[in-house]
Amino acid sequence: MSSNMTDDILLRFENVKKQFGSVKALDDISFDVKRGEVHCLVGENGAGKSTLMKILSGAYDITEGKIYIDGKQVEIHNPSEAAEAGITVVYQEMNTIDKISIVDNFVLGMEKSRCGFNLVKKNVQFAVPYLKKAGLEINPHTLMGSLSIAQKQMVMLAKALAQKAKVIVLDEPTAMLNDKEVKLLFAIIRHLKKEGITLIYISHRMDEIFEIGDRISVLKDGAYVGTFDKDKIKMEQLIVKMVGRELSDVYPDKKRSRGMKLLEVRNISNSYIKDISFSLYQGEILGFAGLVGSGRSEVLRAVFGADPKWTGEILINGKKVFIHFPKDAVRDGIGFVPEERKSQGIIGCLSVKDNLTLIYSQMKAKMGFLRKKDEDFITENYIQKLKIKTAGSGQMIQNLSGGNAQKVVVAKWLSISPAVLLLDEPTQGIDVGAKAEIYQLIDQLAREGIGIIVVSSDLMEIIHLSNRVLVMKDGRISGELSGEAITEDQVMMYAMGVEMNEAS
Amino acid sequence: MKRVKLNTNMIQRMATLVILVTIMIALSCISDKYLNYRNLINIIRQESTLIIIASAATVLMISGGMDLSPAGVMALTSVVLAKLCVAGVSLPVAIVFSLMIGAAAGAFSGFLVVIAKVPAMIATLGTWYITKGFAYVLSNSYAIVQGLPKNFGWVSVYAGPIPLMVILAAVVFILFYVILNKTLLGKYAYAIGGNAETARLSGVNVKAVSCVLYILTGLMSSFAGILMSSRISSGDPNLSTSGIEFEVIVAIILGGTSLLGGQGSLVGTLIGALILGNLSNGMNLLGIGTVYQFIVEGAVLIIAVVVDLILKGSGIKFKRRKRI
Repeated sequence: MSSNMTDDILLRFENVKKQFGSVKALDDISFDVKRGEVHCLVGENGAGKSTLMKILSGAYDITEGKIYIDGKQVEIHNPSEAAEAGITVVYQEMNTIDKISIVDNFVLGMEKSRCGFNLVKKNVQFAVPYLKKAGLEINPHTLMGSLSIAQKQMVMLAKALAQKAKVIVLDEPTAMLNDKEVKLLFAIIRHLKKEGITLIYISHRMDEIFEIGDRISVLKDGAYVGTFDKDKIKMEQLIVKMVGRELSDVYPDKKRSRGMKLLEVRNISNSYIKDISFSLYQGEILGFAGLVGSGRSEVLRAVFGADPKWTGEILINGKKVFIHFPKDAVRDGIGFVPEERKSQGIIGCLSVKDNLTLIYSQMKAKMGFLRKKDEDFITENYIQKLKIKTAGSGQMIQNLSGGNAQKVVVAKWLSISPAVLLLDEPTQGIDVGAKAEIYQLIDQLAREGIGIIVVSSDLMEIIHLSNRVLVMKDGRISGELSGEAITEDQVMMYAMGVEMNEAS
Repeated sequence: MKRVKLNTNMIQRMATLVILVTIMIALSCISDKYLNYRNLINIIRQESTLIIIASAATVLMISGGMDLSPAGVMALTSVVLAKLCVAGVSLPVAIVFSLMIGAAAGAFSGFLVVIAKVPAMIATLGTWYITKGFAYVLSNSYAIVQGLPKNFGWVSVYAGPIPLMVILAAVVFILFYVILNKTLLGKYAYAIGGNAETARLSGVNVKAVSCVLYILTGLMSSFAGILMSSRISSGDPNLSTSGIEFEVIVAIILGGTSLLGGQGSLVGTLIGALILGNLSNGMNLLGIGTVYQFIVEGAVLIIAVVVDLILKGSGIKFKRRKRI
């Protein structure tokens, strides 16, 4: 292919593919980034933004396809090759060392030294101009740990400048900043633009994208949707491009009959969530949507007693209950399938049986003695009922696939017949076939009369499972949708706090 | 192609059993004094206190905990027991009272680890030195031998051909075997050691359970201290430097209990303790001095851990991993 690239194209992705085993994470991505622009990358969680950036930064190897910088193909296999090619990524989770000074962080890996002695003065002389350029004018000997997140970002930006970066990738840079800091960051970004630096800006916040971006590329399910000039597309159109997908038949029928009120939550708050109130009825599935960090999971954790509550009360079947710790929730018949299956849901080194009966045993033990026969029976029963694929009840659970391990976690709760089951990202890291099975299971449980709450970052999942959806933003419930009104656009509007009229 | 995945636990337990039998066969070939009832039962008696403490400590380590304080607790218990007896308190009352020392020391360690979040290694190291210090202070650094009642050496009796020490060790071992395998507490120990957060989110009172396990280990340390005092007929502060905490850990690790918790067995610990007992007995029979036994025991611990890590695939790699 002869080069038809014009001079102003700095970075070019050509047919980039990434495969994890049999799973396609990126499929045939091609687009250009122009020199000196702020190029926004948007898409839902799991759309492939991070994967693409990890390929660019050398954290992942590319499966197929090419990357060009300044018209030359580059091979990037590790972060230092990325830096050589002029690419720097400033991650959301900043990789700085808090216990050493700004300047030491700045020069880490490129210290000026003589015979192994660190030349502090030279390092400072080297660092200060760049720090100034990035908008940071404080004593460079200050400890990194005493800086705000915004200031740490500036240090990393300065470092990128010192490394002669051509492209700086900002991954959700404003996720943890306040309004004032966001303004300051934008001022710095504009300044960098003037210096000829190209930025790739990843964010969920539409308003920011339209404020700071020049062009916007959309990814969806690992595929490239298109690149748009920000002046030629409206926010609503962009959201539809991000989420608009065809319905699939993985989801069960949503028509369920709503029964009596099972659970009522009144005004609970803690450091993550503010003043949350809602009710859950028998036979319905209640979904919690919202962006990462909006407090969805934290609501479940607070209700379950996994996190402390500062205020508020919880009623089950109209009776007030006191839940301070998970053991209280267990007693009151609330089950919780946590978000992180490996670190919170299962005990990897124990058997399927020991995992499945962990809660059952608490309920059934007599004078502290286990009832092994009952445990064996219940284990075999659930392995059959939920079609858990395992070599046997003695199999170590970490050898099971994600979907089967998740079924064990669900069975763990079902064994004590809970009144309410809280599911946090029930299908995370589970392949499509197993997802459908989990959905069928959730649907069946709801029909059997268990109150179900589902939190998910997969919008399709929320929309197609839930009879009612509560959308969260910044720790508060920003909207409630039910029945036909549950659409992707509506959920996204509430989640991102976009003011819009009924008609969309 | 389907590869049969061998259970590392099974391999390890079989391996330790093979090692034990190999040592026993080797010793019976080398020394004609080894293979007879008196010597063998003597080995078990020698290891009785170790087995008693290690029984509780195995459950503790399965839950992810660790206790370095047994020697200190033993010494303090021994001194207090002797002092009480000298002061005229009847032996049974004195025993019950001095058992409280172990429970208190265990509760103290448990509090430090569970509530104050002090790493177990440091917390119990502190408990060891504090109890050791008290033992020396209370006894003026001298073993208490004068004025003890006649029945103070009660443990040296035999039930038929079996020493009482061995019977008591067996009772404790079976007790903890039942706790670990048949009760909720044992199930919790595995769950907490395997993944404390999952256990907590499954309604397990992780803090209370951990504390109970420290208290049980403290109690068994005290119990071992009482038996030891009776056996040597004195209240001896020097028990605090017996190195038993080291042997307990070696026995447990040899037995295949994971350093990280979540895996392990009491039968393994028993085999581990018997390996240690046979090794030191063998070296005694061969006239190898005690000082050399330290070297051997240290080496055994290190080899056990290195082999354990290799089996788990996180230690020395024999195959180079292909770079992708």
